[in-house]
Amino acid sequence: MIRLEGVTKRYGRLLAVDGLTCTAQRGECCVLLGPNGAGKTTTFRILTTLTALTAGRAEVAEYDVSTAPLEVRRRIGYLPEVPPSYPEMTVASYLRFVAGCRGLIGAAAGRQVEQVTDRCGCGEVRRRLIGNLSKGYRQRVGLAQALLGEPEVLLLDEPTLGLDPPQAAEMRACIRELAMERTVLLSTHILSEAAALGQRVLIMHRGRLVADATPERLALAVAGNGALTMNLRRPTSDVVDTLTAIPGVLRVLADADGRYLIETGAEVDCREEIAALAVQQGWGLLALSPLTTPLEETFLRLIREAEETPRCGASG
Amino acid sequence: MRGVWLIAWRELRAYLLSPIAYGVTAVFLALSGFFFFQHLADYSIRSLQWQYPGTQELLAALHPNQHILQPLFDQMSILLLFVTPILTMRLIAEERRAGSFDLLQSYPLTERAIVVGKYLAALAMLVLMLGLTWAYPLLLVWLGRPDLPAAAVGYLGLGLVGAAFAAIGCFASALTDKQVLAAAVAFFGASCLWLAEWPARNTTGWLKTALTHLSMRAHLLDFFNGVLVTSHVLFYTFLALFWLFLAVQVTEGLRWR
Repeated sequence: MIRLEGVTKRYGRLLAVDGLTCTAQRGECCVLLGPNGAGKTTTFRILTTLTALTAGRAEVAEYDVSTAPLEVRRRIGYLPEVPPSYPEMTVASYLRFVAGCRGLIGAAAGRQVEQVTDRCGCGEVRRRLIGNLSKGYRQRVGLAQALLGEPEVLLLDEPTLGLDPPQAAEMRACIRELAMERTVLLSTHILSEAAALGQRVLIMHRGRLVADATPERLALAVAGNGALTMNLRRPTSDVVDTLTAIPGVLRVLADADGRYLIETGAEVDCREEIAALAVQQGWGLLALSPLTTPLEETFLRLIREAEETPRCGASG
Repeated sequence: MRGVWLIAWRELRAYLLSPIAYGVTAVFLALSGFFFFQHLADYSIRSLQWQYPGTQELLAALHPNQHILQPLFDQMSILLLFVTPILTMRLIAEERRAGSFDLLQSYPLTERAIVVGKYLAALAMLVLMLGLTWAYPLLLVWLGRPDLPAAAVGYLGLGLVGAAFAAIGCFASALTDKQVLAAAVAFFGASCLWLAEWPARNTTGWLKTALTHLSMRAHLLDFFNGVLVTSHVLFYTFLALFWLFLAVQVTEGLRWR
């Protein structure tokens, strides 16, 4: 649904996006994560046809953003970083206007406006002027206008920016629901949000994609070797030696209260053998799960690595 | 086409809720009203003075169109030169500053539809403003016998010059996200075309011909005299379309920044 191949955007000498290549499929929620100036908003502007790319190719729903911008616009719903601002319009009249812009007329327009208003929780403010709404409601109205016309692809630029925690949680729940039936690409610099929403996290830094994986796989990839955590009810003194004897297990560290950390080789899964052994030895296996590095640590490490990699040209 | 009307309707609503539009209309009406009553008073004094023997010919030649409406139209056209940039400055610049223009461009509308829609709203405001001044020729019907078809031709001239000014304003508004700068650029551009006949007086040959033809004011006088000349109508139409075309190009060019 979204395909970027070597997308590059240069503003004069400033390289905002540098050879970005990635895809996002239907039913997938991808998060563009990166610090300020990483190129997230520029990527959104390219996908919404607002900014022409310098090199590469970008497609939305199989339409090229450069050669078929109108077709692309028909298939996207866009929530910009700054929520819509026609302060003199009421929420209902604004959504009717957007419905018209999206080619919806008559009863169909009215029906869709009703649907998105209810879905985004704007029902109680539909007759209020946008200029008098709180930031949270403006964001909801922004999401509602993005949903009009039932677009196949949703592009949400920092959708929870400026929202208080309950509002942000509501917005995330709404996005999660929306991602089930369409492609959602959202940007954020909040790590917990990326981990909570993203089936895939695309980490950008200085215009480059430095990682593209699920939050869990990202953490493991950065950790290098695999790591497991195991809890036992009746550990014995030979647990460490017995586990170390399993092929693929590199190291076993005993923690307090029957908790063990098991380091395994990269991409080696020994969980079945470990579980079988624990049952056989009668250690009282309570839990065995992969240990993931927190996303924050992953993110910082990837950014550090990207900074250490020499590159030509300025970036932003 | 539906997109054009949608944008125009939204923009016109925004105008009707904007204090600037009311302020500009009020100033335009107040000044044009002042000029009208000044010419009316002058006309009344002359018609009284020329009642005396020996001035009957002058009195016969005294016509409300020539002595009231023509100078009024001339002054109203100059007022339009000042008020139109203020009306048009917000068209695109305001939305660009607020960020809503990006959102508008992300909808399945062409830049041409957006620009033309906004332009039509500004034009509707100008027509509304000029329409309110129809009270003056209608007042003359009560006082005398004005030539209303000739007055209508004068209004057509005002409408056409307003349309050209609005197109220049629309172009200026597309250039920047600062409204004051947009108004200044529009005023400067319109003034240059308005006053092109001034430098023409001191030049000769093709340059004189070109400048005289470019002068917006030179094409307007026939309308005020009640004479409808097709070439003048085409001149203003072409001028408006030319600046609108440039405005569309500038708006499309925003993608390449």
